[in-house]
Amino acid sequence: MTTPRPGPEPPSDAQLVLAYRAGEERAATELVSRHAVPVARFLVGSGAAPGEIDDLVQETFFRAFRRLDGWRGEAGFRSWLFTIASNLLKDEYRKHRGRKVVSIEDRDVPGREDPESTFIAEEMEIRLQQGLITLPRLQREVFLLRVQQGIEYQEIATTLGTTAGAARVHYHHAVRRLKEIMR
Amino acid sequence: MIHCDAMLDRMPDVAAGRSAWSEEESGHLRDCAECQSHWKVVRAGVFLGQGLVAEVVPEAIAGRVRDRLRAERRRTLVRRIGWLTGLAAAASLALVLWSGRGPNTPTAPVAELTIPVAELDSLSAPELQSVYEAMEAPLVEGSSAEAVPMGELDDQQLERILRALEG
Repeated sequence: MTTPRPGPEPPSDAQLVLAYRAGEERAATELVSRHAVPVARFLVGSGAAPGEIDDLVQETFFRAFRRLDGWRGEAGFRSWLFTIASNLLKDEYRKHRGRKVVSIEDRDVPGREDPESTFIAEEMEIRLQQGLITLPRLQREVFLLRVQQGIEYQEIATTLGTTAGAARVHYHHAVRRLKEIMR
Repeated sequence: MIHCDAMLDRMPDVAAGRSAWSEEESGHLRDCAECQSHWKVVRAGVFLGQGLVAEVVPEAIAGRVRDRLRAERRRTLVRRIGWLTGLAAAASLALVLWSGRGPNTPTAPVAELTIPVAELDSLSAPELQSVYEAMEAPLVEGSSAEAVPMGELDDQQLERILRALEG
């Protein structure tokens, strides 16, 4: 029996960006496929209403491709997308003078077998989301990048224009404040 | 001895399955109420939004983004061509005005200018109309950008016009 050979490594984000700049539209499709869901989750955590997620993700990528020169590769492409998504949400918030807060009625319950544990998890998530909205922007974003997206402090620092040490402090503060809110 | 801050730093990686608690850390978590409440927050954060984004279809989003980018690229091309055409027209006008002000050129008002073309004098009205129409038509078929409305040209045709205008 022969071991299957590993296929060629998928192109990196930087390679896809170069390919898109050279006129290869498929590269854009690949970048969207890779990052659309994480961007959507980041937007959910930042307080976007479920009905707006699709449009906001689309707008985030549209803005990103329009100004690809803005990504210099210091932070990851995904982190850069989070910055755009965050600014977009800020613009929307200013435009509408308020943000829709997710309510239990708006939510689609994910398919879990135990209805009680589903309810508890759902309620926990909603309380977390409502708690996140009350945090200062930097604390909220550090929490989402570190916890929800699993990004290391150093990259968070580059993305948000702070230091790794400060990012760590923001994360600790965020968790402690959320703990009080969710109690 | 494990400090709660160190536990807090490790929580995102353990909650997401990128790492696992050591025996000592597990013991600390079992006995420390503060760490237990932090752990609850971090675990909720790791799974935040997972149920909601099941409806996000990256391929559909990619298609819509691509369409918008194409439309914008097209608008930019048309705008640039319009701008360059205007610039060329302005340059031509400036050239005509400038050449008309030369030292050897009489400065007669435009309304009094007549260009005698003897051959035209003998033509009838319908014949003159036909000559006029021939002058209006482009010299070479498809040589004029105005022959077809800009909006009906495809991207390649627009690029060609742009290249021609830019030299």
